Amino acid sequence: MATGKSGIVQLRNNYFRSVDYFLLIPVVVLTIIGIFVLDRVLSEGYEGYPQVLYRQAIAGVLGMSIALLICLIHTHFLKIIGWIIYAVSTMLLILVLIDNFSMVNTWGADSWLNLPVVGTFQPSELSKIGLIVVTAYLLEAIKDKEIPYFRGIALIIAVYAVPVGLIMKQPDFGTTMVIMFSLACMIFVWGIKYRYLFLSISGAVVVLLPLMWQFFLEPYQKTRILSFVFAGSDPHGEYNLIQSKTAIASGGLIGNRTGSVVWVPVKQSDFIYSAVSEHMGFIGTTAVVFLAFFFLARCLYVGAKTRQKSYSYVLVGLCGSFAFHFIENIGMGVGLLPITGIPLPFISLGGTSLMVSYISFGIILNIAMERKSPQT
Amino acid sequence: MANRIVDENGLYVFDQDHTSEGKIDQPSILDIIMAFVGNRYFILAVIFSVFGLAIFFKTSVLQFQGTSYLVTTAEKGVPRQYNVPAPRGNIYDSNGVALASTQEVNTLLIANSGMFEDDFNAMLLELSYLFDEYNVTTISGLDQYYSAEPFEFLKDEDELILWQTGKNLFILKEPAPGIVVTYNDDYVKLDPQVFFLYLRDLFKIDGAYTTDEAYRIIRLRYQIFTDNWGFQNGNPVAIATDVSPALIQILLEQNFKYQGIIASKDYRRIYSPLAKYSSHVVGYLGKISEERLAELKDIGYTPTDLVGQSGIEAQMERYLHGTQGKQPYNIWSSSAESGAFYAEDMGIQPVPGADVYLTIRSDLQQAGLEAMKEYIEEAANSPKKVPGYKTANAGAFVVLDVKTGAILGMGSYPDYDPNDFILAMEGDAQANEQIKYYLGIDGYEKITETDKPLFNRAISGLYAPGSTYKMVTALAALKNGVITPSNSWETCDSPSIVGGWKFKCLSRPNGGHGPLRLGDAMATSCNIYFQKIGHDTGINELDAMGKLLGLGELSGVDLPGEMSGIRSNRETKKLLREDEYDRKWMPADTAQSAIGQFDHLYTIIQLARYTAAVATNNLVTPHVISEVVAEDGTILYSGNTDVIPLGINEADLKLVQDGMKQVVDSEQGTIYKYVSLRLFSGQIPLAAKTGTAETGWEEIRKEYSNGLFVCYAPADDPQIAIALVVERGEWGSSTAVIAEELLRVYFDLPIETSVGSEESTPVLGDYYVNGG
Repeated sequence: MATGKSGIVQLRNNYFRSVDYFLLIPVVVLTIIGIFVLDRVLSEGYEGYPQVLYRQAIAGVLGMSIALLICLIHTHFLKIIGWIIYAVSTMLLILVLIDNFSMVNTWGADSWLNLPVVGTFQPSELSKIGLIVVTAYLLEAIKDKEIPYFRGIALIIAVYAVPVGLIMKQPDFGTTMVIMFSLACMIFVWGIKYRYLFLSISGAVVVLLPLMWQFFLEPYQKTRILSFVFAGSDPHGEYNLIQSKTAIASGGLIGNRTGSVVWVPVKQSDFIYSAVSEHMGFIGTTAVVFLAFFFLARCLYVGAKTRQKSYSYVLVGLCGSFAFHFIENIGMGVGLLPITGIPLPFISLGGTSLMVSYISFGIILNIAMERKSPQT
Repeated sequence: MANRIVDENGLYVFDQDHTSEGKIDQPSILDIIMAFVGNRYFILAVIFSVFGLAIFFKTSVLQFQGTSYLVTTAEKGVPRQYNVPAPRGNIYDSNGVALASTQEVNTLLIANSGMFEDDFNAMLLELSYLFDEYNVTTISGLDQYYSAEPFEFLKDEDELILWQTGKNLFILKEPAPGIVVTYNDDYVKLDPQVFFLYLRDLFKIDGAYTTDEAYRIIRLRYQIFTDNWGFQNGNPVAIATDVSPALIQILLEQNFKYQGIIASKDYRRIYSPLAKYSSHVVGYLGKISEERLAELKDIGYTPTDLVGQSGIEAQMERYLHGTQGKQPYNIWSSSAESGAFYAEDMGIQPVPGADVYLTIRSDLQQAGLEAMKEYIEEAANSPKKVPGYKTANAGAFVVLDVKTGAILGMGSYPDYDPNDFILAMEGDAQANEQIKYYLGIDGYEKITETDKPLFNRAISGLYAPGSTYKMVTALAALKNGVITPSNSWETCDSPSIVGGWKFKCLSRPNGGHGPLRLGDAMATSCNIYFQKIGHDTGINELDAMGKLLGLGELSGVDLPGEMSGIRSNRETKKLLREDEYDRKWMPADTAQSAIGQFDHLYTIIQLARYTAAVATNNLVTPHVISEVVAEDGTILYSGNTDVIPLGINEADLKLVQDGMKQVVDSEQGTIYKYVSLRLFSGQIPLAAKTGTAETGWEEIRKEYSNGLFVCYAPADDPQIAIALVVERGEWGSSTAVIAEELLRVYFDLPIETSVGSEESTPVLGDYYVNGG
């Protein structure tokens, strides 16, 4: 894979011709829909409107630029960048524990950093990318028999232990789920035997769930899950859901034109999907769902076609992370899945989420371009 | 190498010969499909797509069965939020002293947390003991109907039936004869013991509780029951107010135990002691009426809201009220340290009401009302009186800034204390008694009928102006050349025939004053003089001048309930008389109108405005509101300080103004004998006019006439105008004592006791000046 050039940046031939537009266009459209919906939601009386919206729009443009800049990096630097992100984000996760840097978050979890220059920032989001990239290379090494099987597994567990432990401690149940899901996707594609898959899933259900229930889940997280399984046990969770469903229902075909809005808690982030329906109706939600899953399918397609195993795993990992976000966020909004506080990528309000989404997207785009550009 | 050939179906098949020869595993179609399907990427894509489709369908179902979903949720309606009241705006006097302000009170609400009846009752019992321990007033509507210690009803049977059959409460059937009512049937319970059992049964209170315990539970349950529909649908119900922060902390810390308890804030209106001197300006609050609620529901008023019933509280209701907010609430958590899903700053923040700054000066208010009270009490207690004196019981005054129209003082006596309305609603017995007097109920009908303490006499009371009208007559006569500044002579003979009627001069019934100039006539308030010049001027000209000076017209004061009054003229005579013969205008009517009698009926604020107009040749808009300021400092409303120039000939006006000065300074002046006021005028030149207006009841009820007084000062550079009335106060000149008090407070000149203080106080009825 040596390119013969020593710089980290490569100037690809025909840069714009090698961009995978099947990936780029859905993301751009989702971002635009996001800004449109956020404008409506935030103007309902959100504090700081419209500055907040401007910041989001700027973050969108900035994120897109970063994604396109990432494409300029030689793909084989991904490994080292992955490790750097992993190390930095793990350090930041430790910083959260230190009171001076952390912001006590009103929504339940203490997972925010208040850094100079950068401002408020959620390191667990960044940690996700680092873990995925690092794991992909480890999985490739195991596949290529560069590392013995069991040592490889042990290495992966070791790599995950610290950041996941720290994230669970925050407690950020949502991000933990995302990380575990993307790992599962990568391992699945990597080629875990179906019987092991079955074993591990049943093992997780039998052993891990009760353990988590007992030791890791906060009472409010338990009630959220309970309220999903046994409707009626948590009036709050149910209230959110009822309001969200009502808002979605109010959208109809082209959005709620009556002028009255349904009050949904955290409508600008966790329940943004309800706002998409409320303001754009069936047309908007169909567009979002179609674009999101087209994007995911395209990621998997590119992954399947990528010869370099590690790149392929990175793609699947990132795709899995996006998939979890899309499915869980929308699924909880319509009442299919229990409520967890995770944002809808490219649409929800939140600088960190948007930037991390774009960095992930940049990596995906980079790999997709690598596939297209002539092999050297 | 396998050679591919095309079969008859157009599909590639492998050459059989070569495959058998090479022994290479050639993939069959099934294998290709299996390889594709078995591809892990593909499987992942399928899994994702399944979720995608599920989401798509679920969303579509919601969107296209939307209406039915919305209807059911609207019916079930679980709005897990409660209304946060907005603090009502303050009312300040011109010194910035808050006459009305708000006090924050902690309240406890209870929301439906879905507990079982047994647990709920057990919790309420514990709560009631906690309330006792912390001296918390619990709210229960039951207390006004029922007591269980001993068992008794506190209302009569009719009210009980009305209460128990009420549509929103027990919905019991009226008792029919011959039916023995038991606790578990659905007839009205008139036996307190049976009713108690009925409540125990209704609220599913366990038989193991003692009567006392059960009653404690019932009191709280009843309060919740009164808003049962709202409670079941997620609206928290208020159960206690004035809760100490310590108790709130205990309840919130143990929210796993006291489930559904929400600490909220409410606001209580507080009137400063000074407010009772401005009661008619400030107004009072009362519960919102059904009609008003229907009108204001859309802008966030609730049935428990208090709204302004009079004065500024009513006039500026929309500014003062603010907008209530909405707060999603947090209840129930299985652990003490977490469970907050909604942050404090979520929901809609209430918008506090705007503050109203008045032009009213509390010192003038206090001085005016106390002087008026003293005057009336003196009149009522005066021993050597003819029977009518004792009827003096009411009055009103207005102090006006002549340049801007700002009302510096406005009082009406008898007055009321706006605090009583608040205290009565909180169950204060003394205040409750006061309210009965204010409203004229429960035995107070007769006294309230005459006192009308809630009635703002300054803007709603209509009084014949009497001699205070004479400036209009003089100005109209001057305007029309009946008299001129150089030749204003007219002779007063008594008796005199004016317009076909015989009139007598009141001060010199036999002979009259002889030839008088306008100044002398004003000073002595000679009726014959004004009847003559008024008759010569004509009613239409008098009426036009009265209208120009704002009499009989709404002054535009920013208080509710202003009356426009009546100008005596041809039209009003027609309107007021039933008999066709009476409707015709007679020349003598002009003569009577010219001295402020006949049909004239004006408000005190009109008289003050008119006096200011005579003083400045400008008509002002009287107003009590200086500014209305929103919480963020923006000025939402300012008083109208524009003036309308009247364009009356300055020389004419000067003559009338000099006449008003002579009322005080000339030896013939109607208040010349009032030494203290004359001494005052030596320092601050005063222009005034007295008036004693017949009410028509003098002969019939043996009542005295209304005493009126108008003045402005300083006469050479007018700052304030005052108009006042004392109903049945007899002589306008004697009521000047009240004006003097106001003037001395305004100009900060204390009464000089050294010079004949005894003499300075006029004794009622002691001296007979003419006409008042």
